[in-house]
Amino acid sequence: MWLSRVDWEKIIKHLSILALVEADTARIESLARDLEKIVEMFNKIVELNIPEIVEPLYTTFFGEINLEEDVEWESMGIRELDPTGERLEDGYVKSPKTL
Amino acid sequence: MLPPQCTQFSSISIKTLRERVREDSDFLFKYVEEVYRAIERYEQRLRAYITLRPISEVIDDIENLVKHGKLGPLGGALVAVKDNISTKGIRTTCGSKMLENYVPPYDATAVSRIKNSGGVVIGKTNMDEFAMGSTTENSAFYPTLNPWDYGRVPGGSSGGSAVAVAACEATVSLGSDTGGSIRLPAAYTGIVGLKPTYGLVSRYGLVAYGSSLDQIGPMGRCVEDVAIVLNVISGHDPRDSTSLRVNVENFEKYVVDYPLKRYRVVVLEEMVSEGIDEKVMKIFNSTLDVLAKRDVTVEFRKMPLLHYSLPTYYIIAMAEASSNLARFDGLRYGTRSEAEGKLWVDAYRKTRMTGFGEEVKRRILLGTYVLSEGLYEGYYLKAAKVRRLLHQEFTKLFREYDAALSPTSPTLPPRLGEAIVDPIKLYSLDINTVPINLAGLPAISVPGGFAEGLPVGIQIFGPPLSEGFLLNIAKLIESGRSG
Repeated sequence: MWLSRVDWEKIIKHLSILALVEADTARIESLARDLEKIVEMFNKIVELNIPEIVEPLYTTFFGEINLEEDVEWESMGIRELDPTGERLEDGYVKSPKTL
Repeated sequence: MLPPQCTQFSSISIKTLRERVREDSDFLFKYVEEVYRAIERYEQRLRAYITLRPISEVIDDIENLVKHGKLGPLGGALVAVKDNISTKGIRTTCGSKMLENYVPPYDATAVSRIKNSGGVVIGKTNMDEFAMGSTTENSAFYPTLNPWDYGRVPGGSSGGSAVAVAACEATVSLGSDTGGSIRLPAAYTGIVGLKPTYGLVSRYGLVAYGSSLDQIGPMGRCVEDVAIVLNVISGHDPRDSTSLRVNVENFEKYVVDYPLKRYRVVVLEEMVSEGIDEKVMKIFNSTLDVLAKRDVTVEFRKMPLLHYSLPTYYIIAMAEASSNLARFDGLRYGTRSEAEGKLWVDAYRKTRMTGFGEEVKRRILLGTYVLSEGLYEGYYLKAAKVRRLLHQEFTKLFREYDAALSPTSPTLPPRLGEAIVDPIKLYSLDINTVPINLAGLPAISVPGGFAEGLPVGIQIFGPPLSEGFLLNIAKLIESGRSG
């Protein structure tokens, strides 16, 4: 499907919301140009005719998946988490305020 | 041949280091001083490291190893570690502002194995942000320069790890390879770099980019050093669910100057046709002559599906990256930006906008695009099917051949700023390396010769777990080149 530069700019704005990555408004035009080029390269496989029967391959690991039993570990000490103690207050790690 | 930054002393191999230390226990300390002299002299220009440990700390570690008789197979080698591999107590930035001050509370399995085998971490090396790039220009801190020509890139994304070794600012290094990130910089800097079979080396502690493609691997100035480090870091790890349960061989025994069998190797025509620099091809052909003299049979075959490997790789890698990098939100760890809005999502978005560089954002957006409703089937699912077909073709191919050969890169190292301006040009540098990651195969890049004073790398790849034979063929090329 052919998309115009304006379409791409709209798509980027939509993708930015989905991916929670705000694109720099000053660079949106050059980003649109790059994305257009890259998707054109991707489109090479869209045109490829692959039989329905072919199963997708998501990993090349064919060994036995090693899922270990849950094991209870002693929790990491506060001193190990914050060796200098700079972020400690009343024995708790203080995290920076966000909002 | 070594670049001008190296001296005979600073360029010694692990084996020589071990032998010399047996004769003179102070040798190791003199060696550390020599390496730090090289760093003092050249690092300001080359910028291989993001974090360099002070010499006093490194000497303390070595004193400890000597005192407790734990010099092990690495013999006190100075190991530079790519900055996306976790190191306890040492900053691990992934070349990103997002993790600029992140200090992991644990070691990656590969790092703890290095430490337990007599290796000493000397520092953390520069890289393209989150391993997304092929030139090490995409680092959020500074680009790393090629020691053979300061006007050229060293390749990427493990460019810092390659330059640290090539310029004798470390004995060996660890890199990571998602689509060629060990092999490409090894080729551009004239060293040896190995990407192991998927699952041979634990990914525990490696910051994920494309989880189904990522592997940690060794880089060294000679094939033997790479085999020694591979011995140390490979093997099953219960902390990585995709770690293979295999008995690890002694890879050193494959590093001999004679063929261990009558090899049949194949050259895939698609890897030596489109866009390959003539100078690179000349070196590649002379390498085939070297192998022919060692009774290696070389044949040519076609694999038309390789034309689709670049889009297939980038669709899969970007889709996985968009998912893996969702964890960097500024809430759990990493950089955090103060948001103007009142919603957590504003803080999250602002953090990611300021913390990530342009290439990372581009890949996250494209990864989100190919996974979107209505596009998923046409892009991601299709790419996963092409991956299946590629895997089947390689499986069939390696029933007939022991290994395959290609130039590692189609070109000589690009000039600074030359490839980065055009994403397609940048991605095309990986054209011969990405098919190997898609199929989970092992591959090694070994120097094949020089063109215009710049190194040219030869890639050898083979069926899963054929690292031993690849090292043997690489050794034949290495000794054929120097002989």
